[in-house]
Amino acid sequence: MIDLLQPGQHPDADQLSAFIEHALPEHEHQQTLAHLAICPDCRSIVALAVPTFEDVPQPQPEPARTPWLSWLSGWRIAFPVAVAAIAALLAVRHYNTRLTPTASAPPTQSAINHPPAPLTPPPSPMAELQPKLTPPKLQALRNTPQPRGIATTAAAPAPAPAPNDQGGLIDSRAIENIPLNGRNFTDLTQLQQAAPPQGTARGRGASTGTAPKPPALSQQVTVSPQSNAVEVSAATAPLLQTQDALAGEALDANVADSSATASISATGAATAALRQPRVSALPSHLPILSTATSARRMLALDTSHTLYISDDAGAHWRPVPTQWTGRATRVDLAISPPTVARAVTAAAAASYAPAAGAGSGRGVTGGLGGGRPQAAAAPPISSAPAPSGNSSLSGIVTDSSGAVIPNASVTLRSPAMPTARTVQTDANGHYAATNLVAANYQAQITALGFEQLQQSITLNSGQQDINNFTLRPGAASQTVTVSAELAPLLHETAPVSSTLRVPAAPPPPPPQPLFQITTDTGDHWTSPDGQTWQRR
Amino acid sequence: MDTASSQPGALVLPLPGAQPAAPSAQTTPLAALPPSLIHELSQTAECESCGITPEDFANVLSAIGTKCNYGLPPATPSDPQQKASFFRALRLPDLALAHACALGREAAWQRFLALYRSPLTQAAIAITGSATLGHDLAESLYAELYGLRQVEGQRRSPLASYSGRGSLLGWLRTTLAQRHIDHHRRTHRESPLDDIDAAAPTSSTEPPPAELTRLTEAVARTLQTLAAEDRFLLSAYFLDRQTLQQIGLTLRVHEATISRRLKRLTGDLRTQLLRNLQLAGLSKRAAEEALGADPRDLEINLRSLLQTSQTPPFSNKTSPAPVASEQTP
Repeated sequence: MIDLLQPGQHPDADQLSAFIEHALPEHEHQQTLAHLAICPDCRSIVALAVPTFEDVPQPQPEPARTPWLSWLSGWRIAFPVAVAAIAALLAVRHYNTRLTPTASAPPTQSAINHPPAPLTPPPSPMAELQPKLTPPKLQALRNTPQPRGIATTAAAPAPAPAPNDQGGLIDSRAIENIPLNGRNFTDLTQLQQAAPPQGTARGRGASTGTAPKPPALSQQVTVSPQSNAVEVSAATAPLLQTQDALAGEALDANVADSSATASISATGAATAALRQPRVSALPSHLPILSTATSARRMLALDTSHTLYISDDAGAHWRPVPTQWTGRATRVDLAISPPTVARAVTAAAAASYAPAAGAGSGRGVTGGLGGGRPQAAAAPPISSAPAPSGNSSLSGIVTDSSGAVIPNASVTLRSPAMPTARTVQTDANGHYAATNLVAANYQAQITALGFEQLQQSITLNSGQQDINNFTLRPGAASQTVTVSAELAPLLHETAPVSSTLRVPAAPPPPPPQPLFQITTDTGDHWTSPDGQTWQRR
Repeated sequence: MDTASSQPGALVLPLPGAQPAAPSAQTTPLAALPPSLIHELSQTAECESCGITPEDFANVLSAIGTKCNYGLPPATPSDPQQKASFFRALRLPDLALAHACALGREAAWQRFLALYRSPLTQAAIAITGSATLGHDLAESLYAELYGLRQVEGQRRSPLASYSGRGSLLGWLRTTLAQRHIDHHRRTHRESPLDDIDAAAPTSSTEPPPAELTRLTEAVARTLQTLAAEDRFLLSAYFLDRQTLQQIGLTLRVHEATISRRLKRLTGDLRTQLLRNLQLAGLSKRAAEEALGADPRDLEINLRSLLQTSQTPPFSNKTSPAPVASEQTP
């Protein structure tokens, strides 16, 4: 005890005891603390008057703050949000180059799948999204039945679909396993990877045949970090709304002419209640396994594999008699192919683009009942239909060191084409865009981690041009415009007479939505009205 | 330091046979408190069992409310709602018992002895570290509490200064500690020089190097900008050599929390010192080298720096304390 003279007045026992018991108001507490900081005697009094260690309940230690987190404490909320926003931006940018819009509007349709796995972990925050983007986890998610899944499709038939092109329809399997509410982002990349190769159509129910050019879409996938919402924009599609009411998670697919938007929202029950119509419980009072909606007609499959139909958007249900063999495990939507366009497209494919893995058959891709691809010799293409031509553009995308860049997007835009055409490089960095009409094109090459490259290319009729692109690393975008009015050089092949004219195909009728169920035997049954079913 | 002499609000108690004390001039009229509130508070405080009337208790409450400004900062007006909340937050049974004892109510003393005699003795033994000294300290406090100390023919009890914001046992323990400190100061006026760690006057007349001067100024600036709690932590840990557990008990936080705070505080101090040194014109490397200087070369009084408050200390009760100059090791 240091015996220093400390004249003057000090806090009395009443104030010190109240300080020790933390019974003082804040201003007095601070005053007492300030005095104790300068008065060793009062500190000694307080130290003596404090109850012994055994007399007082022990306070719990505060959570330790590691130094590297201390500076990050203000970013604990902002950091995951920023990461999610950046990831969403990249996903939008990447995905927007994959799909292109079409000219006509498809019917309203959507499908929701709820695999029966009620033991769902609680929704994880958006901050957990990023670590889940690893490929093994994606694969695991793809192979593992998800507790809840949503499939949405918005298809628009092309007026003159090219045979080798394929639509921007999203494979319903690619989306159905998107877990919502914070777990959905993982499958967005899966959704992007689900684009089938060129000239093929990937369909969950398809088993044979190649697909003609499917309806084109321009889809945008955006993730809102605040609302955990994933929005899929699809061009030229009618209003489409599908929502998952059971999980309190919403799937909104608002597709409007020229700028349709399908949004998968996981904003919670409140937002879902605002956006979606109320879906009443099934008569069996069992959880919904899978649903599909077309206009106001809605089909739902419960966990006892009984199919129910509702004509008023889920307000009232009635069971559908079983007309199929096996147990229905899934219900979704398919679209009946446009017949006229299919024939023309198939003929054009056979005539003008035999090397591009032409397909024929259904006009709608996989999740909508399209055929499975026969062969995919060319790099994958996912783009909109374009006026059919006999020109082509191919090449290799490399970086400045000469290394090939896989999965780079090459988007061709031309005034002669109503929509953009996007192809992607394969593992060897090779891309090929076939059946192009003779026109001036603006090529835009993008790849993650590289600067964007834009280049003007002029294609003459029948020209098979080879254009190699070299991307520079970096994030900044760069635009290079090259005017090429004269006839371009022919790199590979001699000019072929290109006097063939393809008669303009009449616009195909809009595809009719087909309900489709999948049984446990792997068979697919379709129905236009949801009540009469036949095997596909 | 005789803390008892500086305690305000001590009631003047009548000696046996003397005239009862007149109502204190500091108390506000009874009309300041609504009768319903007085009745409620008296019922809660069990005034009747202590032998104190509701009117006396209301006077006590009014005096405490005025003294503490009803828990509000000074010069802040209070409304009836805040007053009532302040009174309801008090430890009313302890308050009634203490003031009944101060008023010399026999029933209250019986109850006080039954409740606090043993805990008070144990606390005195714990404070003094000796059973004999503890019993002596407890007995002397009993005598003082009973009002054997007379002023102008009237006895005064320290119990009258109890405001009821803390527990009565805590108040008794703190009073015991105060008395023990007073006793220690009275009996240990002369201490060896090495106990107070006083520094010998410097014999060298050479001016200190410029870097040391800058370091001294930087340390002074850094310590003067510390908050009260940070200075308390540094003072208690480095000057008083209190343990983390003792500081944690005082601040009611876990000792691990105190340890982390101290670590963070010293780290921040070093960072701030470096910044101040760089502001003084040193390069970063020179500033880091200056921090490695021998502390014995510094002309600095950490105690006085730490005990210099930037804010007015403890209302207007404390005067600036001249501290003997000492040099930190």
